[in-house]
Amino acid sequence: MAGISLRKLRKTYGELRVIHDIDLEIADKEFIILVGPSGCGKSTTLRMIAGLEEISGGDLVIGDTIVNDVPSKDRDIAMVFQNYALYPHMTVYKNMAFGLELRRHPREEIDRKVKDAAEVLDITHLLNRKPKALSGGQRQRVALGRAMVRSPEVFLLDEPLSNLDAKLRTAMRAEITKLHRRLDATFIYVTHDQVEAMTMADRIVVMKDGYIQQVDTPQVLYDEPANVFVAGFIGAPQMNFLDVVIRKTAGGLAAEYEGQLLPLPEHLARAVSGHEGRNCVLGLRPENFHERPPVDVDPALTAPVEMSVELAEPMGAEVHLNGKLGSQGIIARVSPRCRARTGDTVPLIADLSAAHLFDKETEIALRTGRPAQ
Amino acid sequence: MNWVANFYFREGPGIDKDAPKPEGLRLLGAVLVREWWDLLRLNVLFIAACLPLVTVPAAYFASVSVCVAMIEDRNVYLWRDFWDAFRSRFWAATLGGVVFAAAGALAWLALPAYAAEARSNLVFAVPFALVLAVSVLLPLLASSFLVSLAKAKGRSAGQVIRISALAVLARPLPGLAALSVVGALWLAHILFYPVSVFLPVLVNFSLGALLMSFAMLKGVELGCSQAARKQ
Ligand SMILES: Nc1ncnc2c1ncn2[C@@H]1O[C@H](COP(=O)(O)OP(=O)(O)O)[C@@H](O)[C@H]1O
Ligand SMILES: [Mg+2]
Repeated sequence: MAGISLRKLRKTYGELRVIHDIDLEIADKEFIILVGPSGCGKSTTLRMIAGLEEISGGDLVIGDTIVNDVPSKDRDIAMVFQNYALYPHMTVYKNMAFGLELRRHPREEIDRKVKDAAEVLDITHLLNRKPKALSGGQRQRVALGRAMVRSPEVFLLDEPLSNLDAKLRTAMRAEITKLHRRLDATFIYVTHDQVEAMTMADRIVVMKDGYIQQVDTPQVLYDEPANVFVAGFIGAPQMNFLDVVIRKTAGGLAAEYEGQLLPLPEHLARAVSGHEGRNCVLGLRPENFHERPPVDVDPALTAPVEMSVELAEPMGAEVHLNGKLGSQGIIARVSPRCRARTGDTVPLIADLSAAHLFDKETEIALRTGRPAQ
Repeated sequence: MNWVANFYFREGPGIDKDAPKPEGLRLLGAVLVREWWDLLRLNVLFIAACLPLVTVPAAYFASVSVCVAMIEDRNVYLWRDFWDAFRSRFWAATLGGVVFAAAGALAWLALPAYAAEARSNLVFAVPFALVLAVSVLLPLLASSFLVSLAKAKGRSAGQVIRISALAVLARPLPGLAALSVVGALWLAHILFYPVSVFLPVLVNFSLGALLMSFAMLKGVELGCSQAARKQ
């Protein structure tokens, strides 16, 4: 089987349009993650791919066949839901075997597949138990196993980890990544958790209000967000945004922030050349503020700033300083050696070589080429 | 309605993978707690399968084989597995049933005769005691035979018989204990009749089969491993 294509895919509920003609190419065996805030249409998109939701417009293509009207059971796709949906009166074995029994697979084959899947997921000891006694993580494994026994070409997973506690979620993330490698199938995974997306995906699809904002690998998404929304959504603590005005200086172009001129790197300056006076949003990630000059950065692209600290959150390996730069709030990630307390004013060095620039009106990223590494 | 669903789907404590397997009576308790519903169904199924009368041995063998799967914590599809066992060993079970029934009938006839003779001539006390011992051991041997049959895939008839005899000799006490519990069950049924009419309908047969299988299984496993070592 080849990849999956969404071509101008649309979903409307009466007058309400929830998916706006989205285009997406998913490669065979890819691990792709749809991420976005609640209500942005991730589940709807996934359910349309699964065939659980009617497609209002556009085409869904699997391989080179349009499958808009192919019923769910004929799409060679298995879906894992957030709430597990296990049958409480059946043992784990029967829960996993049920789908195959409905399809009248031979008994030996069912037995082999159930036991193989149980082995991979490490739930062999649970096979003859009812779901009642199982913990959330164990239930999630069973739900995965139930999808696995069908050996589908495509797995659809809708927030499969959101009911688990934080520790288990981290463990299951690694398990699912391993599972993807092992099963050699396409995974389409939905989550509202950007950490999950960043850690697991080959590529991430960021969605908002039924539109796709950006599709890229996790690192590119982080380094080159296409707009303010993506920049703010990916990364935690989130990127700081400062309202700036573009000014001409002796050395080229700079961003003026509340009277202070911040130098702009080449790839940003080129994008706004000839736009002196334009209102922009400057994006700086929390890790781009330093206590002492960073060694590998051109000093001409740094600027000293004063941050008034409102709250210092020690995280162990680092400290998150919440506070103000002039009148606008920012968060800075500094080393745990930083002894700043609430009410202190600390001098920091802003590394502008890693800055992002967005148009104030459209919120679209302004850059030409890639940032110099 | 939501709280019902919440209660029904609420997360459990989880099952420890490395928890030690329960043994002995604890294991029996765990099996009963886990499989009680299927045991009730098995009882009804057994009664239904016995209706043609000639099918009694095969039906009982099928029950034993389902019980062995339950004890071994294997997945059971009651209807399917019951009839599978019923069909696959129909003749062996029936033949065994005829032999054991004949032996039982013989012992039943011989016992009062020897008892009467023994009262006048003490020499007859020896065969009386022998026959008594045999008639007590017969149900154990029968259970052990059926469990061996259920466990002994691909073994010859001679081996199955040897294994079942070995099992009775190796561990007669659990078998006797189980036998007395089963006896007590039936006694309760008789004593409290007709109030207790539900007992055989609901549990007596399947629970009896489970108890007897449980008692004999260890011995049969022992016999099987011995037979495997010899080969
Ligand atoms: N059956 C429905 N009728 C009307 N609107 C719906 C229906 N199902 C979902 N929606 C709307 O579609 C949007 C997308 O929903 P969904 O795909 O579930 O979002 P997500 O999974 O990203 O949280 C939401 O605004 C939701 O209110
Ligand atoms: Mg959703």
